[in-house]
Amino acid sequence: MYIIHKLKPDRSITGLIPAFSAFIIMAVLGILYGQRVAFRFMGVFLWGFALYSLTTFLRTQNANFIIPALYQFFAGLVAYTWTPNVKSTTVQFAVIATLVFLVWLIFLTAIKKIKWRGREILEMAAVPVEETGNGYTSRPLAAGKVGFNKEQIMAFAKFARRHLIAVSYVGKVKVIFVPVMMGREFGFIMGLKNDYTDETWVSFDFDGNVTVNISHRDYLGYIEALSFEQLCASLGNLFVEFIEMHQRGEGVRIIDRMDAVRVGVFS
Amino acid sequence: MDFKEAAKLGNYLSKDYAEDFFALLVNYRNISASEAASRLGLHIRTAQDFLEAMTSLEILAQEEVYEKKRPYFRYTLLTEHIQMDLDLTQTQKEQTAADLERRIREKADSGVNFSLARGGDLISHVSLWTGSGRDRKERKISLTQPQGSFLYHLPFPNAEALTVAEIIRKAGVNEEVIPEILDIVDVLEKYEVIEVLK
Repeated sequence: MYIIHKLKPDRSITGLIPAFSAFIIMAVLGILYGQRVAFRFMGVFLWGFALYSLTTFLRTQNANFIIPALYQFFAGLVAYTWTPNVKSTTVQFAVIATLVFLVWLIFLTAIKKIKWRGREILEMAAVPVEETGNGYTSRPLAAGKVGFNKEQIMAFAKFARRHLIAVSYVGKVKVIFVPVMMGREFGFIMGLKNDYTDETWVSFDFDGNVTVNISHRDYLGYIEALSFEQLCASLGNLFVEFIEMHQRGEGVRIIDRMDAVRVGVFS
Repeated sequence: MDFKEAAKLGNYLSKDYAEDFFALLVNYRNISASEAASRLGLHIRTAQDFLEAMTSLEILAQEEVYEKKRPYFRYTLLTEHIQMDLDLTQTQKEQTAADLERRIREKADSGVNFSLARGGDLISHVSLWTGSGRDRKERKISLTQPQGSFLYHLPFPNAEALTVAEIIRKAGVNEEVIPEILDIVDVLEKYEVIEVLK
């Protein structure tokens, strides 16, 4: 299956900002206080990221995030304990561990095991929409009724979280799925995003009502002004289809379909 | 009494001097504006406005008299009781079949912002902007629950328009509150948030 991409190319550098900032700070510290302080800063910075990766694992239950956490931990250890012209056994072990986990991390990245799938979701939602004509509104679309029960919705929420398809907000009477794009996950992981209403989301209440909202930012991300109602309806249908596939035990097919969209690993 | 007359009467009754003024009118057979003003310590223009307003409401009678060829008015109380009977049903919107059969949808690029209620299945308020440049102002319209539910089900811009009655049915809004639905439809049509298709 070949999909014509309808989203604008991703040129966001948000995900690279922390790394760039760390290198700049490291360089400044190196100039002002010497190499040792600079490397110690980098060590602490990497441990901070290791904690973040661990938090992502705890929040999503996606065990693959243990690998970046371990890579960042050992890379931090190398940086923190680095001393010019001294080669201790601990450092040598940490260097080997860093390289092993780095290779593992590159592999996981390449096969999209730690990729947030928001972009794939928006591309897939746009596939059946041919009509254009803007029509954006900040109101959500009541997209119809389905027959899923609470357990089925909750089971899919767990699956979606683990496979980074969507972050889920579980309320008393409904579950809200928020597809997250790469580079936008920080707020969700750190619990800073308590209000999902300005995001793109799909809600399933336990009476079966499906409601869809597409944020203005995401809508502007499409190359053409696609018919907004059709786009919302399509996004709702996509999630309904996902839940049905998950119920049939075809979760792997959901992942395959997303992989077939051929979105870059950092998009 | 219509609403404008009631507002006029209410406005004058609320003045500090109103009670003393009526006391004069009850106790004097008739009185001129200058006599009343001097007696109550008011500016003559204030007394004149009061007397003319009461005359227009048919509480006082006005008689033109002459003093050395100079005409002026004397006022006599016509009634000993003032009754304010305001029929509020006059302001109720007439609900016709045509109102409910209007085919409507949200207007594209209306620049309006709909805010969701906490529960997420109805609109809590609509923010719209009026004016331009420095005079641009935000107007926030808070909605009742039926209105919020109605707007939640309003067709999107460019989508197929539905009749007001169809949206009411879709939103599960009680028929008793149709006047408030028609009111918000009229307001949003006026601000070009909703378009009515022929």
